[in-house]
Amino acid sequence: MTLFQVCQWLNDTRLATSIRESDAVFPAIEGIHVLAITLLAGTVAIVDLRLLGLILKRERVSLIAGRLLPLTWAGFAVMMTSGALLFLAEAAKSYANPVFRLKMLLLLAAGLNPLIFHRTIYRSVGEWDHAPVAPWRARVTALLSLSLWSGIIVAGRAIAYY
Amino acid sequence: MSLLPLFHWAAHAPLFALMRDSKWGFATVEMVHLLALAALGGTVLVVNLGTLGIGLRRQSTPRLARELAPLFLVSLGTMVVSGVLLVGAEPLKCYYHPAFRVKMLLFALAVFFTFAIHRRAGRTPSDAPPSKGAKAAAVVSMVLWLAVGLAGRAIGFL
Repeated sequence: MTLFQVCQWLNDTRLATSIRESDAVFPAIEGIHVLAITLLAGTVAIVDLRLLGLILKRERVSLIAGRLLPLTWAGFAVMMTSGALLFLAEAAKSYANPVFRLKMLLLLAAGLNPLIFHRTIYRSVGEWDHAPVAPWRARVTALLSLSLWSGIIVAGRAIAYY
Repeated sequence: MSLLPLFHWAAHAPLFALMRDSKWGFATVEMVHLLALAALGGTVLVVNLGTLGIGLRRQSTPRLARELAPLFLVSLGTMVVSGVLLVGAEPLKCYYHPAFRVKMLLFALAVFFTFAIHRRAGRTPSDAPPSKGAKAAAVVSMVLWLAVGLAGRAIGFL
């Protein structure tokens, strides 16, 4: 079974069909999806701005990151669930949509970015936890993160135009 | 006084010609509107949740609110400018749309609440725990801005 056939099969499931054919359900899920992104991207951006030394310079990086992480995960869970339902409803169309593919790549990169960050430069956070501006490698991660999430939001909106 | 003549003028104004006639004009402005929404919504959420003790430490939130004020104002300004352009693409549809009217009312309330009440309620010393009033203001602020967003979503499909 090819990936396209999987998408076609998902597309034809009863759940997908009922979301697609309802006038209110699809836009309602879209609304929830957008609001979840504000929570996810908002909390991620606060940590990024702290790494860049733009806000909360006198607070420890690890404290801000640690306290915001549960909120980021909450936003992520709602975003992924609502996003999966939106994809399900239009699985066959999404498969062929170039912007959808681009968005998935950006999402993958946005997910890998903190994984790499936590396994490399963040290991030594004890040495620069109090520094107003994080080391350059952490600042690169922060800039990447801000760009990737902005790209994901823009690409998400653009899916509807292709 | 009715605002209808203003919307009639906008329907033919050369200023909005690109928004009316080009698919990409509208799409691009929508993307900018959405990016600004993420920045504004993120600021509102992180600061207000912090006041309630969720996420950041309570002591950090007054300073965070001050430091994020420029971001809040820039994203608010961007939302207004891009929002006016979006209305310019279909002014008469908006004028008669109930969700648009509700959104404008909620938006006016949210802006008034933010600048007239919320900012004053948040001005407590950094080390004191937030008062009941400050916590209530945080909840009202989140509910109002959430309602503005939901009404905005409703314009697109109702």
